[in-house]
Amino acid sequence: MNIAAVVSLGAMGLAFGAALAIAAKKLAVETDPREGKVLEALPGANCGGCGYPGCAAYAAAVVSGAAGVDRCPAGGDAARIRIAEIMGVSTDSAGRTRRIAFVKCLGDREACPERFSYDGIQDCRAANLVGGGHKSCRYGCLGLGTCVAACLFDAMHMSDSGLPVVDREKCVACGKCVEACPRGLIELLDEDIAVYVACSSKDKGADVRKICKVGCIGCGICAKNCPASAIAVTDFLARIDQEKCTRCGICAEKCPMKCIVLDADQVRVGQADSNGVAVSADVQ
Amino acid sequence: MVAKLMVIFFSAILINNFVLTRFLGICPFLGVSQQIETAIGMGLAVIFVLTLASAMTWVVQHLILVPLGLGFLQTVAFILVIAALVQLVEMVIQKVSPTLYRALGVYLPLITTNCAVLGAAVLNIREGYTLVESTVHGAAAGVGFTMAIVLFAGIRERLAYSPVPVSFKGFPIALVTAGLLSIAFLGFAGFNLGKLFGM
Repeated sequence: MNIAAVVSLGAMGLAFGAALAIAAKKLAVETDPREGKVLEALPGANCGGCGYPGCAAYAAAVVSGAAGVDRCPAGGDAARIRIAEIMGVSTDSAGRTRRIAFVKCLGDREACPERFSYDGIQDCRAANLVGGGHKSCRYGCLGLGTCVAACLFDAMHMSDSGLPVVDREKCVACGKCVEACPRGLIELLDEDIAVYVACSSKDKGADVRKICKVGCIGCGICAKNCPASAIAVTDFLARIDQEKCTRCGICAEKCPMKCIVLDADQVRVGQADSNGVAVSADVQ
Repeated sequence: MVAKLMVIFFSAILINNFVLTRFLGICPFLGVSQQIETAIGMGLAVIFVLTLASAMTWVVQHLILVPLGLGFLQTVAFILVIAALVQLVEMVIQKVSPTLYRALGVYLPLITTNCAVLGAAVLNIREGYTLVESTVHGAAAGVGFTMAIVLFAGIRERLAYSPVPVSFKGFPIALVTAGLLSIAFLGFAGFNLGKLFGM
């Protein structure tokens, strides 16, 4: 009786084991050892900034050749060079211009008051659906911090006045906040730009003046004064072509609504730009 | 014959639903029901394992254990069969859909010890089903499990966006919901399926 039990169970185990061994051979999933190494070189935050669902998916794409080695914004130059080493491909070792997130709205609670008191789900995407949002400006920041919650790198915080502030050191330009903002107010731009238009309103100037103290009214003064013709006004909103911008800072100075934000460190004061246009020295 | 199979099939889905009436297989029911897509994947894996396991355990019981007088080995032998099948399913899923493989995570190998699978195998023997009846019963148990977990995942997807009181967030509200779903299925208890299929 006992021997029968041992033999029958043993035989069954042996039969199943053999069947599984054959199946394992047939169904083996081949994994490239480089995949694990690439994954280790990545930050592991699974932010999706590369366009793949998480670091593992990007590592698989790199190894299969579907993606380049330079797609990880969070890892920056270090990750790019490390991955290129693992994959045995060449990449320039020079650093690339970092990009960071810029918020294209200055309308905090004071500058752009609320039309009504919103008491619903504390999420901009939900608030945006209620009567067109509680902000007076239908293009402006709703200030509920959905972008802040989306940031995986602790690089965004809400200011006391209700506007998100980007931590320039921590931002890795993964683009999570860009996706999260229901009003599309966040844009990834080169870190070293001198000026950008911090408004997204396409309303007419008179309407903007009524509801916001710092909104672009589409007056075109910046465009007229730009020595490099880098600014164009479309839909009552000024847009700066960063390729053409010579970093003179005149637009920020001339803007009547003060909605062109100037990074003083990046302005080339008193220099002649590449086109030979004299740059004003009195911006600061 | 067909009528009896129909009765077995539908009663295992509705009247004696493995999850909601017999309370078997609760672990994956709660663990993999956050998303409808993963729930469907889990359901299909369970249907596959349950159907094959029901057939194979019947064969093992009636061709090996009973003739050798080894009825006491039933549980061990059944688990052996189920474990082998789950291994096979795991390999297939890893090969066919790595995404689903990752989403199912630890719950996939845990089908091995899923009491719904073992429960179906033991019930088949206890009810004295034939090989065909066992297979149909196993498949129906899997379909019932899939239906329950997909329904539940649908509710949980909505719950995720509902203003649930803080103390009820997550599993507490999920358990309450599962209870309500189970009560709803009690409504099928009075059905006379035999009459419906002309038995």
